[in-house]
Amino acid sequence: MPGIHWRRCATVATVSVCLLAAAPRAAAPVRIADLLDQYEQSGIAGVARAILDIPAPPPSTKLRLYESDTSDVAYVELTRTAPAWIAAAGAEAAARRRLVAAAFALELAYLRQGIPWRARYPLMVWSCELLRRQPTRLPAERWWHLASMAILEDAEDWRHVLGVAKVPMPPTITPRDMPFINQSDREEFIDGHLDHVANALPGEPRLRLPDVHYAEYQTFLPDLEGPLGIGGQQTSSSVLASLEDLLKNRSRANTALLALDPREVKELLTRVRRIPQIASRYAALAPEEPLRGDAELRQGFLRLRLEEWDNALAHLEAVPESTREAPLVALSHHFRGWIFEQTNRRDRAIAAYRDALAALPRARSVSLLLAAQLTQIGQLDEAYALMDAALKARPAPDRRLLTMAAPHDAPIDPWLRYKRGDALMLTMFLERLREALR
Amino acid sequence: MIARLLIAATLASGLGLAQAPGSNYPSTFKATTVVVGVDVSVRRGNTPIPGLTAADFELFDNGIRQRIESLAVEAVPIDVTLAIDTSGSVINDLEAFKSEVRQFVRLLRPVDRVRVIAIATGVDEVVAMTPPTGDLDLRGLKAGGFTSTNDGLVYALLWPTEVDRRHLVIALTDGIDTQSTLDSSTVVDTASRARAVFHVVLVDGLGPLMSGWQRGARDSVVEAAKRSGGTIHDLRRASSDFKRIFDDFRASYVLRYSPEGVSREGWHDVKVGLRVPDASKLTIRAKQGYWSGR
Repeated sequence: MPGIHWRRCATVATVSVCLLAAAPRAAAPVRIADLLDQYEQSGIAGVARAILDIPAPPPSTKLRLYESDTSDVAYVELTRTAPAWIAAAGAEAAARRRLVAAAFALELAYLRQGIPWRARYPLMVWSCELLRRQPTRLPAERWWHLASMAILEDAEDWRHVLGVAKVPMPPTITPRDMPFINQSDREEFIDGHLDHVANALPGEPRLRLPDVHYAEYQTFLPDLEGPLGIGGQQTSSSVLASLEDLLKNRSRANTALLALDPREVKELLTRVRRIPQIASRYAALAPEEPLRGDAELRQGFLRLRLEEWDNALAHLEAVPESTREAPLVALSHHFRGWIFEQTNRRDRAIAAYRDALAALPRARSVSLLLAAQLTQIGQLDEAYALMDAALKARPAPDRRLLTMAAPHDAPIDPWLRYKRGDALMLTMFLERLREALR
Repeated sequence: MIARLLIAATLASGLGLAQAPGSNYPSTFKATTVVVGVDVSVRRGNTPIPGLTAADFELFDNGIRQRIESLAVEAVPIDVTLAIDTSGSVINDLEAFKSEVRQFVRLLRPVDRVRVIAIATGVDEVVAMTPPTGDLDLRGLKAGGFTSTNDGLVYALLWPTEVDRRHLVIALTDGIDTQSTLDSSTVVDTASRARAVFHVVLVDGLGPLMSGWQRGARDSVVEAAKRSGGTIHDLRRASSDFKRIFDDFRASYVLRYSPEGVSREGWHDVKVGLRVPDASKLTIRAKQGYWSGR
């Protein structure tokens, strides 16, 4: 949420989910070395359940606002046992084992979304350092780096993605509030993880995206209240006028906007006015073939937000020609459907939503939007079947294991990830990392 | 209330409807006939009025008087969907609440069925539609989280009830939504079109802290109930609230007719009246209409 509560370690949403899902489980000894063996031999399927059963760290009242929590048993045990586990297979296998251990750290950080980000973030620091000290030179390492960036973006931890120079701390924070775990943590904070990834992957085109992702992320309007629809992000001149009006007449604002003080509204307005510039930045990336799908999708969405329907459609229609990545293709159709809905072209909206589901079956938001359209034309049974499939496919947060089982048929909701940059590609990158390690 | 379109093309192939014991539902239909069922509740104050016959009702479809072909009461099996908002602002004591749900389910008849949907960050079918036998497994009902009220209610309303059954949706909610994909106008629209009667047990979770926006969302839930032929109930005790709603629903009438003199497609405004003495002192609740075709 731009400008509301800048926290290093957790968003409001993450914290709330954590409180839900962190119910104590029967404590069992966590044998990370065994899990590393199983992960190396059988991949994620062999260890996912065990990872989810690792007890959450107890809530600490002693931690300061920006302090990472290093008490998580998974972090403690991994950092304690991994060096010996890596060495045990001999020098030849050590590089691969380093990557397996680093990948396992990502799995722990991603799968255990029921615990606060501040307790998962140390895993990112540790695994990044592991690979920086001794790069493996294995092709799979590329996927580790891309997945690690995506996990940080998924956690909305932009400061650790880009560094404190690009994502400054609030002026009220003093150095005393910034206890680093170690020197690596300090470096990630100052330079950003992107800097480390860029050293590992020189010339990697995807590393040109996070800066623009962050600029786009900052333009999102607060969505603390009400449905998480695309409509809430439209920023036509009338929406801008109502934001400006808010500065003059607060009684007309909804609660989410009232949570902002006038200075924050001004900042939000400034950022929203940058949408055309951000679209131009994506346009500049579009000629690079590996980025074309992302760039066209995001230009299309920004033009949608400005209610430049035809312009948006032109970009969105270019996405399936530019990429085969299912989340990008699915979202391009999803956004097209939304535009057709807004412009009263129901048949085309339905067709576009169907295209989205063909690209990513059971994606939740678009399934529901299609169901709503079908209800309007009396096709209630199909509407129900679509909702039923999507809602049963999308597990509650503490059952995310299921989302990992079959990523190309995964019940992920690309719309809910779109805002968080490469979080949109996270399951794809993780799956490619796993595949490369098999 | 429930408006069911029975497109007889399906039935003309020889597939008759399974007739529930004691039901007045017809078991076969003429080819090309569209039969509409409208659930109607008639009450004097809080008391349902029993013993009415088809001749006591008058029914208008898009302003055209229709001939009521049959009237069914009581024996028609009922599918009940309990849509429970499990966010913290609605349920304080989850275990006590589960016990109340079980108490309610024990009151259902063997021919009835029940399903339970939990509305939180996600929407989970905790209990699939099932006869009310045995001890209901409610382990999937967990407290806390955000609230996908709109998504959950639309999902509950769209349950594809078989033509020889009726569908009652009882939602326990404060009407506030923080997580849905669908907006509240979709809930209202779905309630108009779905085959369910929708009753809401409304919890005043936030009280005066409710924002204007939240109040608007809550008003939409109220409107959705009204459009479906249901109504709003203030929460007293969940099991007795649910029972009261169920008993009232069971005591309501199903008027069936084949629309004549009206266009088949589009919105059909339905008005139901009574031709009995003191009709003006009775309250009639029925679905306000139905959609047919595109």
